[in-house]
This record gives sequence, structure tokens and C-alpha cells, in this order.
Amino acid sequence: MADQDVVVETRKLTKIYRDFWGRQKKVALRALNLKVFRGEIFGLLGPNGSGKTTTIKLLLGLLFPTDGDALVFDQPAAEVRKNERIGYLPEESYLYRFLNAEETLDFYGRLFKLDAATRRKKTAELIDLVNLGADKKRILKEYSKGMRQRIGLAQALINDPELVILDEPTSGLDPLGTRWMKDLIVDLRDKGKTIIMCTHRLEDVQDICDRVAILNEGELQELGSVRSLLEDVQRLELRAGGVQLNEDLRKDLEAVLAKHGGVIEFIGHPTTTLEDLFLRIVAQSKAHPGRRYLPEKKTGPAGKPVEATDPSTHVSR
Amino acid sequence: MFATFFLERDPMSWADLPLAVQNWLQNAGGVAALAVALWCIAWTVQNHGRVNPFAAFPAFVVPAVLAGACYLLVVLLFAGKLLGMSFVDEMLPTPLGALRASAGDWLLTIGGALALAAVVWPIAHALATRIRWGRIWAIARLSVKDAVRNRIVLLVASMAIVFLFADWFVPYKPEDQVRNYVRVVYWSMTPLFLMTASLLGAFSIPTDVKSQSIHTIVTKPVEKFEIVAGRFLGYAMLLSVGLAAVAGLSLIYVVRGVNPDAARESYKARVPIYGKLTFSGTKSIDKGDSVGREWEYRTYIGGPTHESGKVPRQYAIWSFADLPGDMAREDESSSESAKPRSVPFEFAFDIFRLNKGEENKGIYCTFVFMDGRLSIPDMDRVQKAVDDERRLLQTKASKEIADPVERQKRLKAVNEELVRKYGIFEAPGFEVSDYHTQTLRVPSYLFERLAELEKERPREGLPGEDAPPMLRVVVGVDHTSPTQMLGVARRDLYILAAEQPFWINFLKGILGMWCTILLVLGVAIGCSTYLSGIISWLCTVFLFGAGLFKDSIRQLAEGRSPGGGPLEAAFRIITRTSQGAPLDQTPTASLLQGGDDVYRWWMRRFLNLLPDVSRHDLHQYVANGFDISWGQVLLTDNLIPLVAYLLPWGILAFYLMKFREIANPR
Repeated sequence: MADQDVVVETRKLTKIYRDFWGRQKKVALRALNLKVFRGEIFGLLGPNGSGKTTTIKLLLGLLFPTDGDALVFDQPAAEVRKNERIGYLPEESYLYRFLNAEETLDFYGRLFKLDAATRRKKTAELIDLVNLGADKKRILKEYSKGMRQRIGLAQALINDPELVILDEPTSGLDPLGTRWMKDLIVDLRDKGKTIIMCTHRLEDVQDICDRVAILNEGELQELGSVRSLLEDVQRLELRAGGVQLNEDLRKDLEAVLAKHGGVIEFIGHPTTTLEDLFLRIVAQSKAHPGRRYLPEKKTGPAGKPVEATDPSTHVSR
Repeated sequence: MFATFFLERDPMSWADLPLAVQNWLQNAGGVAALAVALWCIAWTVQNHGRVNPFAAFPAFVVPAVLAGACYLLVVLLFAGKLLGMSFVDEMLPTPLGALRASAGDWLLTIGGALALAAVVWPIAHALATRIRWGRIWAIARLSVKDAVRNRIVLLVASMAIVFLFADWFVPYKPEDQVRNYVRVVYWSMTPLFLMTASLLGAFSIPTDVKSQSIHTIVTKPVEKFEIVAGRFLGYAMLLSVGLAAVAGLSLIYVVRGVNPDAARESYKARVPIYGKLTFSGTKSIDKGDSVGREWEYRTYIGGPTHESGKVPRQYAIWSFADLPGDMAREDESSSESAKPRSVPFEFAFDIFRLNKGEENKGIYCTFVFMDGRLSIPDMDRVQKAVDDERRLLQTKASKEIADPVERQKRLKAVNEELVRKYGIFEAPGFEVSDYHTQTLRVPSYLFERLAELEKERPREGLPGEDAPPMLRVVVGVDHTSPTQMLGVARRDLYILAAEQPFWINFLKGILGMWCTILLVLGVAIGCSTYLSGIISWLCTVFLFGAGLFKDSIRQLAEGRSPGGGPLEAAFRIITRTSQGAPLDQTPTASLLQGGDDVYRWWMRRFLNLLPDVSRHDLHQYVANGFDISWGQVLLTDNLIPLVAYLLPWGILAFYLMKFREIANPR
């Protein structure tokens, strides 16, 4: 990508935590160099204490770098004016719990100096977007964690930001909420926004991130596109439709591979992901209210009941 | 009638303001200069913060360098003194309150002003370019909602307990009733609101930091100082509304609870005109005699003794430099159909008896009201001339006028003629009661005469001296009260210029409390920009508590406390030396006194940190029925010192927030 598309750049960004007397306690980040380009979803990965959240806090100006530079929209991270183009969702949704959803969005809208009419319009739009219309008058103290996460995302979008920074965006969300969040993030990217997210959930990263940086103990270990990082050129994957696995097929395949110097490591029918299964079941449940799982009772040789092993065994009332 | 009202310290006046500003610039500027110096050193030595003060604020450099030059010159003056250069003695900084400012004082003042300019410039720049009222208002609204929805305001409802049960404990004696009611409501409201203010202020920002809610604010285009200002504004608004509501209810409570007799007598706010008190016949012109009381607010004059003639008579003299145009009013208490016009003087003295005297009787005093150009020796001479002429005129009137009514009229006219001729009015043999406010009415024609005299012969002082006052009031104990002492202080006698409604005065007193609340709130929020909630609260409580004893601490810091500093006092205890006796100048004593000097130097610096809390306590005015003036008491003695105290806290809060790593767990 061209240089002018760089939204975030860090140059030898270092953060060392010190105690009151200035003595070094921990090196949280060491000489991090990376660039995030406009219109991509960039993932920060790493185990606990690897420096992901420190990086995000440095980019937001919540921490000051010990050395190096953090530039956002070509401005130093400590510059407040850059925040007009940024939306931030913290790991926990640390919003004011005595406010309701409307008041929350109105408050953050005021911080961006939006006029009253715009605030009203944006508030209504965002509440619809995060599906909190029925709960907009309830104070956040009464919200579930997932609901708080959704209103947190809404406040991050109140200024229609160019750069959205998400810290553990799917934390606390159920699979439905997770899918919704991932779809929304992709949608934001499709609208031209740049997304930086850090998460522990690797499947989220794999699903939606364009590029990732993997950190460990404050140092950058890997940086690149998800596809290129995950690609294993030593192995080959083949998918085929309209054919069942049988002994003849296996032998034929072995022969073809042997001709090219390869061997079969695994051959079998693909499985779906648990997430897809869950989403399908919930969708069916909504389509057929009252549908529930009942074990199929079978009488075994000793007269004991045997539970059905087929998960598709259901009854509808 | 009211008991006496006392103030140990005069409220600051406009005339005191230049000196106060100079002191403030020296103190606040000194702290600013120290902070700038420490910052520059820290940045040079340890470049961890990566905040270059010079690069961040180029305009900061010029005043900072000039301030440094001023302080360097002061250091050079002291160095010159150490090197024995006698010509620098007059240029060295003088102690606070010195009559004439030296070159050193001016250097400290200018250096302080420049250092303040250096630290204030970035704030002014931020205020002009980045800080926006709309965001401060949004955070203020949030603060109000925070306090209301978390039910903190319910604390105010605890005032209901006072309203319900205080009646049980308020004495019923009419002359004390208003005072006691006022004290009950003020003393209930003050801790309630101060506690609320300190808790709200101390815990708001630390709670936001701890819960990380502040992360969602500072990642918006919000200057961190806007959070401080918004929190202060929001809580100040909330507390002001709460205070107004409770003050209104308290006023109703006081008005409803006081019986009609007490209300008739005490529902007033007197507007006094105070004179300057001097003495004649005592050891010092500024002080009367001591009767051995520890509280030295009042000093005493005695009556004539058997040694009269050998020792001069003792007088307390109140001098009124200028008088307003028309103070006279009709005497409503007079039984005459045409109410005579007079000027009321009120006084409340202490009586110290050297013998038992007569039961249920006060002591008898003579009050002389005379042209300020007359001195005490003049007074005796003029009084003798007046007495002689009065006798002649009275004798003549007695012979010439047979009708007793007409004769009485003539005698009154004689008195008026004499007052107009000599400019002196005497009220002899007035019975003064102990600690009770009494009234003496002086005929208006004396003041008319004084005004005429002013036009005929404007007062002029001798070269190098002030002009004589317009009026002197001389008080002496009569020979009918031998060996009785009269205790007087400056505010014990005054001209009652007017009377204002009680309720306005009550609400003015609440403004004093409002100043205290803002002070506590400001300190608490200032501390909380760096410290945790509980530590901020403890610091606020400590500063406020120490501020209550500021006068005592000042005595210690200025070396005016008897027995010396802590080291000298300990030495006196060990060696069993009386605190009044001078110490032998042994090397040990000199060393200890030197140590005390260092201690006092630090105490004087520490003193500047303490808020002057007692000046905002105006309940004495309300309880004793004295008007709280808008100008001198509320503006110059309350609001201006409040702003002067909170301004450095605001500057400190700005920098602490600006350079605070919000997300740093340290």
C-alpha cells in the first residue's frame, strides 16, 4: 500500500513501567515498529502481558512512550485533536453505569461538540445499530455484559470515526453477539474505516483480520497478512464434492500422490465449526418456537434405556 | 439585647489589597519558580517523561529566564551581606508587613510574577485555543447526575434531624434566642456540606481512574483539565443549589422558632462605622492596661484613684476619620411629640472589678464626643469653658424666664448653642453594663457643626502626619466608680449608621459558607488529580483542619508565641525556666534558637499552603446582628482570598492532569 495510506505508525515504540523513584519495573513494549494502513482490519495478538493493550494505550495517549514515537494520522499520540477521528472501545465497557443508553450517547456526543439535533439523530441510529432500542431507557447498571459491550461500541462510533480501536471487542458476547460484532467490524472496514483490534480469540482474528502483529513479552514476533502467515506450503489441502470416501478412492488418491512424492496424512469428511452449528440451531429455534431436544428412548439388551446419539433428534410441540 | 460581638482580625480592605497582592505574588510565584526549576532539572537529568518544557511551550522560556535572573539577584544580595557589604542591607527583602518595600522585595515580587507568568502562559494558551466550555459543561452535567443518581444528595436530608430536634436544646431566653438558632443552623450546615464537598471532590476523579471510565473520556477530544474544571463546576453547582435550598429552610426555621420579643429586638443587621482606638494615660498609646487575662483582645482603663493628680487620667479614644453626610435619624424612643434627631452610638464593654462594687449595677462612665482637632488637654480646657458658659447662661435663663416650660426649652437651646459653638458634646455618668450592647444618642447638631467646621477650616495634619480625625469619642471611668476597670477593644464602640433586614444578612452569611465549600471542593479535586481518593480526602481534611488554627500556627511561624520555638520550649521545660524569663546566651541556647529559626522558616512556607478558613465563617456577624458588607467582608475578605487561594491549586491541577499517565497503574 502507498505511504499516504498509513493511519498509524510506530517507530521504535518503547514503554518501560517505572516505580515512584524512577526505577525500572517492567519493559512492557520494546522498539515496536509497525504501520497500519487505511481501510484494513489489523489484529494485535499475543498472550497476557505481551504488550497488546500497552500498544493501544500508547496510541490513544493514555500512556506516554518511554522512547520512540507513536503517530496517529501523522500526529503524536499525545495530541488531543487526533481523537476527533478516533473511536475507542475498551476491553471492559467502562461507561457510567448511572446513565441510560440515550444519556450515554448524548454525553459522548457532547464531548465531540455535536449539536443537539445531530446528537439525537446519531443516538437513535446507533441504538438501532446495536439493537438496544427496547432497553435504551434502562441504566447501564442493569445491562448484561454483552449489552454493555454493545453500547460501548455505539459510543465508540458516535463521531463516525476514521480509525476504530477495539480492545477485546467480543469479550463477554455470546456466539450470536460475537458473529454480530464480527459482521459489524467487517462492515465498518467495507465503509472505509480502519480497525485495530486486540483479542485473545484467535478464531476472531482468523475470521476477520486482514493483517496481524503477534507480540510476546513486549516484542514484535510476526507481522503480516493472516493468509500469508497461516499458509503452510509444505502441505496440500484438497476439497471435493459429489463423492463419498471409499477404499477405491483412497487407493487412487494414494497412487496419484505417490507419483508426485506425497503421502496422505488424513482423508475424511469435513466437519462444520461449532459456531456454525450453534448459529444454525438458534436460527431453527427461532423459526420453530417450542422446538426442543428430547432424548430418543431405546430399550437396550438389559432393558436399560439408551439415549439417542443423533443430535438431530428433536420434537416440536 | 445582644451580647457583644468581637473580631480578632479586621477584614481585609481595599487599602490592604496591594500588600496582599505583593505577598501573594511572592509566595505563589516562589512556589512556581521552584516548580519550574525542579522540572527543568528533572528533565535534564532524567529524560523519561519525554516532555521538553522548552519545546512544548516556547513562550514559557522568556519569563522563566527573567524570573531566574530576579531570584539570582536576590541570592547575590544575600551573598553580599555575607561578604560584609553594608550597602546591601537596605536592599535585602524585608519581613512581611514592613512599611516600605526594599529592592529585594521588588525583585521577589517581579520574579514571582514572572515565574507565575511562565507557568500560567500554557494554561492561558490552552484556555484560549483548546479548552471548550461545551465539554466542561457536559462533564459538569455528568457530575451532577453522578451525585444525584448515586443518592449522595440525600446527605443533605439529614438536616431534617436538626430541624426536628434542635428546638429541644436551644435556650429560650429571648436575648440569646436568635443567636442560638443561627448558631445551630450554621454549625449543622457547615460540617454537612463540607463533608459532602470533600468526599465528592476527593473521590470523583480517582474513582473514574480506578474504574477506567476516564479512558472513554480522555480518548475523545477532551483536554484533561476540562475534566477537572467540569467536575469542579458540576459539584459546585450541585452544592450551591443544595446550600440555597437548605439555607432557605434554615431561615424559615429560625424565623418560625424565635419568639416575637426576641424577633423584635434581634432581627436586625446593624451597619456599623468603626473608629480607630487609641489610649491616653496608659503605658502605650495603642494599648490599655492588662488585667492579667490571657485573652488579650481587650485592654483596660481605670477610673480616677486617690492618686489622681499625680498620674494622668486614663481614657479610651475612638477616632473617626470621616463621617458620612447624613447619619442622623429621629429618635423613636423619645416621648416628645417632635422626635429629636440624633446619631446612635452603640457600645459593649467588659467590666473588670477590682472591688465588689454595687450589686446589679454597672460602672459609670463619661462619654465625650468632640471635634477631632481637639486633643485630650484641649478637651479638659474646652469642657471647663463650656461648663462656665453653661452656668452663666443657665443662671441668666432662670432669672429671665418664669414659665418652667419655656425655661426648659431655653436650657435645651443653651446646650445646643454650646455644642455648636465649641464642637463638643458630653454624656456624663452613663451606667455601663458588663457585656451588653447599649445605645447612646448624640444630638444631630454636633455633626452639623462638625460638617460646618470641615468647610470653614479643612483638617490638615502636621508635616509627615495624617490629618486629624473628624470626630473623637473619649470614654473615661467616672470617679463614682472608683477602682473599676473598663475593658475596651476597637469594635466595642461604633456609630450605628443603618439597620438592614435580618434575612438578607442571614443569606450573606451563607455566602461565606459557600466560599468555604468551594475552597474545600477545590482543594479536594486539586489533590485528587494526583493522589488516590482516600489520600486526597485525608489531605483535604488535614489542610482544612490546620487552616482552622492558622492564626496560632502563624504565631509560631513568626516567633510571637511565648517560650520560643519547639527546641527552646523543650529546653525551658528541661531546665525549668519560666517562659517569660530570658535565656542565658549559652552556646546551647544559641544553637537551639538557631534551630528554631530554621523551623520557623519552614513553618512560614507551610503557612502559605493552609487555607484561611476562619475568614469565611461569617456566622458571628449574623448571630450578633451585624451587617455583612458586600464590599469589604464579602468581596475583599472572602471572594478575592478564595480566588487567590484556589488559583495556585488550579494551576497545579492543570499540570498534574496534563502530565499524568491516566492508564499507568503506578
